[in-house]
Amino acid sequence: MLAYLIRRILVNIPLLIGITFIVFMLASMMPGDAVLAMISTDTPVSDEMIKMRRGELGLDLPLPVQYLRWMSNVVRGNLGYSFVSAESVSQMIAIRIPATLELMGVSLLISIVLGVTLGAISALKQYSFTDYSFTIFGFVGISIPDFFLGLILVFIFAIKLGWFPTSGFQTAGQEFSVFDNLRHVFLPALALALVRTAVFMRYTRSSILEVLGNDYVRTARAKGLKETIVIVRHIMRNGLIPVITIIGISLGVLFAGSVIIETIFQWPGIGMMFINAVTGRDSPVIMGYVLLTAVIVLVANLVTDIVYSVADPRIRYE
Amino acid sequence: MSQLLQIKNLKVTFRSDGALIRAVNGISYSVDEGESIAIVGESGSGKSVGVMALMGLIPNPPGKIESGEVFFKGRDLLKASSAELRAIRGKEIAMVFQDPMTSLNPVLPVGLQLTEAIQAHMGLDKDQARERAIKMLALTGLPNPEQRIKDFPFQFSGGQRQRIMIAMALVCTPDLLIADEPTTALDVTIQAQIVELMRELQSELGMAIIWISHNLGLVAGVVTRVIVMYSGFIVEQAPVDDLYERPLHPYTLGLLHAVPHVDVNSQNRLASIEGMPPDLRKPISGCPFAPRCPYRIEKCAELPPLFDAGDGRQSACWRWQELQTATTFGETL
Repeated sequence: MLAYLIRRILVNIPLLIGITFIVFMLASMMPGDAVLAMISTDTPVSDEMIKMRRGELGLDLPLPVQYLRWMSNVVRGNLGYSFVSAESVSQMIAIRIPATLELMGVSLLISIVLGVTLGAISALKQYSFTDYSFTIFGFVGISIPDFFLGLILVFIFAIKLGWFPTSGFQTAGQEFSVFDNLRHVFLPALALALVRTAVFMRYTRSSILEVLGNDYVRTARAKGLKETIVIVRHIMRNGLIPVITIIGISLGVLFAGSVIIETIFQWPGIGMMFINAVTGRDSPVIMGYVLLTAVIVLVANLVTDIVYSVADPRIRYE
Repeated sequence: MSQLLQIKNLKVTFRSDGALIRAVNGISYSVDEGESIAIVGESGSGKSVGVMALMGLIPNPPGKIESGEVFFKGRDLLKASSAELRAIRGKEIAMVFQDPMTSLNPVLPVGLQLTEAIQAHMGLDKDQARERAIKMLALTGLPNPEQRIKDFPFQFSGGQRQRIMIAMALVCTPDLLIADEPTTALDVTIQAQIVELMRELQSELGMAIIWISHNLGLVAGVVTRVIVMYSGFIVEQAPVDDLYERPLHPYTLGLLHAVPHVDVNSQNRLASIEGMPPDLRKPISGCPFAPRCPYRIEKCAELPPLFDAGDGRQSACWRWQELQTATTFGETL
């Protein structure tokens, strides 16, 4: 198991290099650069000045050299400094990541609990009215873009009903309280959760339906076990194994999806930082964000594999 | 010996794509305590569905028990609540299924799959249940049960898995064991071992066994009575030796001819029954076997009742008396 883990981690290293290199090149292809983004059209700046500033930031070097400089710093644990604010990128990420992780965590929790429960009920009551209603809900959920849903939620629950705040991390001017913070996270988390709820629901449903027809479910019933034991121990235990993979895969998408939702809800997370960095052509921040995303996705895949092998002994013993 | 199970006029249908499939068409039979009988027939003859119905294991929908009574120790199982049925399943009536590869839960250790049945019925604590599971596995001849109880199904061979299935079925010492083609998925040598094992366990534990099989040769040595089913009907019932010696139904005769014999000089093709079983989606008016029967007469357009042929024999053939008195079987008809 340990050897397997080490091998998996080592395999990810060239992958990380490849991902960051490609993104670095793409980011450099965007029109304009950090220096041009800083200039206001009202006050003209001489070409000399621009050239000087570019030289300071290292933007005049060939791209591969720029990349290698960035990489050699990363290896030493230095993600560089923002072109715009001169803040340390790792510092910027460290400040904002807790808010993003909170949003992701709450959203993931909502979608797993809702998705798996609804999917299981749907499967166990196949072709019933409940099943059809859930299926329609799932279809709608997959079809609505999350930013649009976010706006609808704000309109209904924040503006019309006034149950939740429209945006932000906590009520301004108040001392931080967990309850207040949870009220703020609820709407963006829900908006972010809907698509995944629908996806988890559909996977859970089909996976459990597949398990239902298995001989060992009949065996469990023939043993005279209570229906709850049959469902939990024999049906769910087997039916949820494939769902683990889907949840794992969705983590990366969730991280990326939070960018838009954070912007809509003024959530002070890493997504907003990234949007600002892109408009400012702040490539150290962009690259810091990309590296973080890549690491999160790769770690999520690794964790998924581990959880999978714990859940399924047939994988574990191979 | 007193009667353990009595089935009266059991009818089971399935609904599939709008069509009504008559899987079991009013069968009646009984099993005494400690007796072992066989129900034989080809695929789709309703032999499995008939016993699943008495276990309450027919999924509804699409399956439906149309009518009938199933008395087990005097109680009608078809009128029992699901909680009452659950208390009987696994405890008083247990089942061994056809395919041991798929009938065990792949992600649970086999020990748990045994102890959960024990704990559901016997009120033992974890350690006692574990002890009992080990004892039962040892009884079925599984080597090293104390260690292997922690293993998962995929770590066992097919024969071992069927031993585990048998241990699981017998763990609460049921009065009736239903063995639904327990050897079909196994190698021939393992088949013989499993049959032998079940015979030993029966003499040790004293339960009644219903063998469901399509293999007349396999059950011949282990049962006292055979019920032959065809397209949802019982067509013949007889003590095992009488059935082999002198079948009273052309279908049974066909089945017996279809049992391959070891004969090095034989150049003959394996005998088979011409034609196909009737489409169960259509109502059957006459004798269900008539279209394939070489001894068909006009009378066969009418559904024959199950005639009592004496000596504990029954046949659903209009010509059973002729079959009984014919000197050289078949040829004189």
